[in-house]
Amino acid sequence: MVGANAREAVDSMRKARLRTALGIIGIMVGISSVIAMVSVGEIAQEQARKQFEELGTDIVVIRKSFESAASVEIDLEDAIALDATVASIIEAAPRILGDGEFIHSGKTVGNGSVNGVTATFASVNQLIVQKGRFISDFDIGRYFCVIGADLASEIRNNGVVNPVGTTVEVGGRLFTIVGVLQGIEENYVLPVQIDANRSIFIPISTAQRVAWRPEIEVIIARSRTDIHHEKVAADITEYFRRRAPGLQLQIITAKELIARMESQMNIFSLLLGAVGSISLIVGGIGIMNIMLVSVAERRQEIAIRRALGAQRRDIQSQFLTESIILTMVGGIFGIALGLAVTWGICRYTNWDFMVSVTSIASGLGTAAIAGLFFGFQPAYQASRLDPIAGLQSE
Amino acid sequence: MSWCSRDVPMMSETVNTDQNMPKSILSLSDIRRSFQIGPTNTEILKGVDLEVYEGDLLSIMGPSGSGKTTLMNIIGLLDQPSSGYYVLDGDKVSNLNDNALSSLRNKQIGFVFQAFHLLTRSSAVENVCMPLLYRGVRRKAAVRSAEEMLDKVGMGERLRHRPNQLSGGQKQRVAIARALVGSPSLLLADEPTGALDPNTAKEVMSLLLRLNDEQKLTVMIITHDVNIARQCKRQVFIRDGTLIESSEYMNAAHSETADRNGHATAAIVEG
Repeated sequence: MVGANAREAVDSMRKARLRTALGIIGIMVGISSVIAMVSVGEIAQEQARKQFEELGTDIVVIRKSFESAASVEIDLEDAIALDATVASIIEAAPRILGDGEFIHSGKTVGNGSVNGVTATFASVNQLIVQKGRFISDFDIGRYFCVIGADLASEIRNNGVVNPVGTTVEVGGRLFTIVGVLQGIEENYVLPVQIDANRSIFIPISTAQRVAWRPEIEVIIARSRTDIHHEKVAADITEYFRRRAPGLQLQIITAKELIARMESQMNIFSLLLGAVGSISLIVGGIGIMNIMLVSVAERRQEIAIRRALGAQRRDIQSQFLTESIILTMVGGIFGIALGLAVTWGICRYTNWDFMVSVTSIASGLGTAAIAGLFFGFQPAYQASRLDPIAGLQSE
Repeated sequence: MSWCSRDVPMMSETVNTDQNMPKSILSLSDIRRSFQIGPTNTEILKGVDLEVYEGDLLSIMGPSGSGKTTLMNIIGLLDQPSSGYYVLDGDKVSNLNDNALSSLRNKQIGFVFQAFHLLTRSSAVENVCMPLLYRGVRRKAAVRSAEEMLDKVGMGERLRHRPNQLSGGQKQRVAIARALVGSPSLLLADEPTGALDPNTAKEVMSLLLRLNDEQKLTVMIITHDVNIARQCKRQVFIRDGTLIESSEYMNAAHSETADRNGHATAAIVEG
């Protein structure tokens, strides 16, 4: 009977082409919205994960917590000794942060961050020196700086072929440029921003002397990948508890961030899916209308079938089959449209396009469920029609 | 009364206890059907008794509003009586649920309608095999049976034609094939020739007579046409929700004719 029902359904759809097309378009838009939204959500999640992986999932960001006593700060020596003392930490790079206007040869070449850093800052943050060298541990108290790529090109635009060896004025002090960094793509997923291209880097000991806020703003560290991130955080907490009683820390590990981000992304995807579902509901209501009209038009046919011995469930399954086929066809077109929209969004945002099997499966599943859900009422109505009245109708 | 008996068995026991008696196909006893229309309860059938035997060819005549259609709906298991007993081929059918009625209708009753009631999108074969499909017969076997039945009613050359490609007479032959394909106990024909021209009507009637004669098929025809009724072995009349014997009816009609100077006969007979 299923085969016969399917044949009847296709035949009925073919007879009412315009109505069928409208119904299919409704479901197609609904399913494509769901597919596009869910796919974009998944791709965004994948993209964020990739950015983390490029930087390394072993990154740990340590800050003084807002709950900490105002009088207690992260001590520079403690920060520098962190990697040597805590076994789970490979490298630690403290930073003192300030900002200022950069003047070169009397001209302003930029505004940006002034980062007081140690030599490890470059390796921890994967900064590559293009010319000269990075800040060294031997530059204690010296007025040396390393400049970002954008700043260097501004200086070059002023006619200076090689900025290394020249001086840049920041906050009324002259710093000799000892190195220029390669351009680097900013990683926005980290809880600490470097903005390396438009910043300058000076020895942390110098920053302690000249900065408006000489406290250590952050320690960016790399942990051993074989140790669980919670253990790493516990080790760091224990280390500072012994070294600086009263100091409360905020420790964010990349893995924890990824987990947090993934859960947020899941909510995001769910929200996007919910937004897409609204169009699906609208499409489904369209299908319901079409099926109700179909039932009304086919009262006599239903009555004939009942007279020939069709049971209520036969009639119900016939109309349910029809609505499921209608939504499945809409679903297949919707998947194609959804993938095309996703591809367009990926092209526009420079994300890597990928076909999400989950979204396709959920698209088809949703279509079938929508067919069942929105087709149920008309099918039920059809099965309850009075055959006597149907036989008398013209 | 030869066509009517009140000695109907109470449950689903076989009516035919005497080997020489023809088998009872249909037995109605004190069938009543009333409808609630607003505050008024209108009784359409007021205690109908009827016995139909295997191989009967019976016509039911009566004026409009006499309860013909209601009776046909009850006999055809499309409706249930308000009270009374109905035994169909040994099965008591009063108070059966909808599924059981559908199943029994599928197996025991073959319908032929005045308006043919073929499914317009389906071919002749598809129309004819439908009762078998609802019975759970596999499609291939159902199609084979449908083709054989269409061949028997002279439609072997029009198997794949759709109703809109057939004449009125051909449509009714397809409808008859559909009614017979499931080997029902009773063929219920509601004005089977009502929508046909005289020649085609004659052909269709001949087919029904032949099926009754050769295959001992029990046929019940509901008609307004006296000529059709006359070709049946038995004629039953319904008036104001009660069945009356052919002779009684004709007497009543005759006396009314006498009273009204011949004006009533046609009205009663033709409804």
